[in-house]
Amino acid sequence: MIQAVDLTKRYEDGNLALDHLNLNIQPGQIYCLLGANGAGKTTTINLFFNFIEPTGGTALINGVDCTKDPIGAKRHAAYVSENVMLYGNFTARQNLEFFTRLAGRRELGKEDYYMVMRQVGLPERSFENRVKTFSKGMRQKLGIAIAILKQAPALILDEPTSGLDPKAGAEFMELLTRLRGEGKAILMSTHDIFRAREVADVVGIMKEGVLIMEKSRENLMYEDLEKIYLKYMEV
Amino acid sequence: MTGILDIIRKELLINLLSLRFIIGLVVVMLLIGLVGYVLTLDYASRRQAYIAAAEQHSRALEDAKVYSTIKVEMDIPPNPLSLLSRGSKDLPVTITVSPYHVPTILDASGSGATISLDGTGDLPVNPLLRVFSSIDVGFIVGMIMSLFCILLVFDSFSGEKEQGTLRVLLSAPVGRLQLLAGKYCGALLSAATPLTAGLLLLVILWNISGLVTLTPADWLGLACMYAASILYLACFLALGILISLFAEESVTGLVHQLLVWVVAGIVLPAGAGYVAEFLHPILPETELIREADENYGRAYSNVRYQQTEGSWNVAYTDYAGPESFLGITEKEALNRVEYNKIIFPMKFALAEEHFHIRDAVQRSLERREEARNSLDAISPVAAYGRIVRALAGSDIGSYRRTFAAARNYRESLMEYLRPKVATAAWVTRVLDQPELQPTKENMSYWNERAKKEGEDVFLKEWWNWSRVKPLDLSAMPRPNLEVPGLRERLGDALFPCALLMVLTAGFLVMAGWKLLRYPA
Ligand SMILES: Nc1ncnc2c1ncn2[C@@H]1O[C@H](COP(=O)(O)OP(=O)(O)O)[C@@H](O)[C@H]1O
Ligand SMILES: [Mg+2]
Repeated sequence: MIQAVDLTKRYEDGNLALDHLNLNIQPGQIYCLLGANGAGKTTTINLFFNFIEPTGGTALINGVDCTKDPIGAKRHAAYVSENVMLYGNFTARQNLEFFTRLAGRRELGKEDYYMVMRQVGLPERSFENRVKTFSKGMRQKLGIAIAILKQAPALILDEPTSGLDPKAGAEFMELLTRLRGEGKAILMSTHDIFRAREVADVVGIMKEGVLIMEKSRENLMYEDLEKIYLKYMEV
Repeated sequence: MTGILDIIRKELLINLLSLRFIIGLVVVMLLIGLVGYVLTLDYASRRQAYIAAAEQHSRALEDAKVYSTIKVEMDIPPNPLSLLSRGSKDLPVTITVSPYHVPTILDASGSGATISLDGTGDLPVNPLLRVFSSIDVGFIVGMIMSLFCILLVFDSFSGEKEQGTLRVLLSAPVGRLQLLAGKYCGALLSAATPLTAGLLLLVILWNISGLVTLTPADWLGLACMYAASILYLACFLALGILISLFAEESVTGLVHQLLVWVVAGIVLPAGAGYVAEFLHPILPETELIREADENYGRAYSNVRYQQTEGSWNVAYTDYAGPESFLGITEKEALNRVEYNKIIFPMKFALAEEHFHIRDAVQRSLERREEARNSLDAISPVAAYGRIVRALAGSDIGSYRRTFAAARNYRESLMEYLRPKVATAAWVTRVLDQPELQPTKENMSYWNERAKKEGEDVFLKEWWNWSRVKPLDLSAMPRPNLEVPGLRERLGDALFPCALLMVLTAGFLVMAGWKLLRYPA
């Protein structure tokens, strides 16, 4: 569902941020991408949404080339960024409505929006509040609400839980596992080894633009992910 | 496609909720309303003055007693659309046509025709007009609304990027060009709102006050002006969005846009004016005219010397008051007719010569104007100003046509007057009325009365100019100046309009090109 084939990105300043990355994430799978700051995680995710153009290889979502047909590819993927930013002067519901309609779903009513906001755990009284009064956790939740309403089979999240308090982080992960249960393919970059270990079906570790390790859940069962991570970071 | 509508809606909503939009809306509406109101009163008083002057001038012709002093005042009817673009206050409201003067646009600077209205000095003068005289609706749109446009779009893309919303937007299945189109249309609708509201306010005011009545052609002209204003806003917004795509940060974008605004609105037009003045110096009109006058003066003295054999006689005095010609003999009057047959064609020729000099000056002014127009052609502000003035009939093109119409009229007037040249002077009217001549019978009759009633009876009753019958001018062609036709005005506006369109399209294409390469 989410696929990278020899995906390479060299920035204009000559920095090789991503070097022949290969990924394949199936429906019903959570793939956690680990890596230090500057490893190339955000670059990878940006390539899937055509925010930037690759210098080599292809990114595919549901088989659609993200560079050749970005609109077609984006139809099948939802995006949650590290720091979800929305229109501060709009209420939560207005933001949700705008982005959902933009995603092509225009048949929904107020109640549908409220339902999703309840589902992601936003407090009832905040539904019609302006987003500029929201805490980071609330914004992340609203971000995932937008992603959920898009009903895309692929979900790509860039460090969605960084900066969230433990409770909010746990709630967020619970949501993700629920979405996996619905059969979504989920790619998530994170620093949070413990959470990754808890929920990931596959874990990949990146370093300086190269995917240096990839292990599935079964292989991780009896190993200490933290040790593996630190070991890879050393060399 | 529906994605565009969503983006337009969102842009509109965001703007409506933003302080800068509210402030802009209020300021623009207030300004258009206030300036429009003041100019409406001004237009009403100009219209009233026009009607009064036209009536007075046609009455003046009814009392005309000699052909040689016939002078036709052609009143220029105020154009209702000049409400939106007043034009220079130095432009004439009356063009004087006489056998001795061919009107040119230079009359506007006071060299020939009257600029003020005679006898209408007690016009209601609007004190507010002094403050707002140079501000009209065209200026508000040209300078203030363009500033408003800049404030609307200076952070169109850089702002969304800084805010972090650009990626969320672009993660939706909308194309970048679609996003551009949506944002652009949203901004255009937002910018058009205060303009539309302000103009509606004005139209309502006109209807309620009854001060302005518009013909269908005026409405059409107004609609064209509205469309041109929207086109102008569209051009500025396209430029603004383009700059916002090139700016790394919103603040630098704002600075760059203000710079562009100053250059396009002030530096370019003013600079173009100076350069054009330098490139096309105006001919020394007064010098050439003095030369022509001196030549005429010499020729005139020669003729006069030959005709009168060196003697001075009241009959040959051109500039004495009419009373001095009353009481001259028939023989003297007939001599005078012969003299007139030579002198009047000379005077008409002098007028033509003056015209050729002025026409050359006029054309050099036009060339200067053309040079200026091509120098600041890339400034949307200048192009818009040109469109509005052309549509309002307050540009040089309209005045050129008005003066050409006045000259055409003068031609027909001269056709009528030329055969009457010999009888064109005061003195000849005496020939029409024998009772005014100093014949023997007349003299004895008036001497009798003078003995009884005193000496003043000669001047009071006999040689009194009021006893001379007015001329029958029923066959004389009458003046008729009309507001220049909309078709011609549209023709003048066409080129700057096309220019604005090309500029707008160019800015949009460049913005699209840049956006496709824009790292989100
Ligand atoms: N716009 C950019 N231009 C040049 N280099 C960049 C740009 N964005 C990121 N990089 C570089 O690419 C590398 C990968 O960055 P990134 O993908 O943001 O890492 P991560 O998300 O894993 O922290 C880093 O070395 C970073 O400095
Ligand atoms: Mg990152």
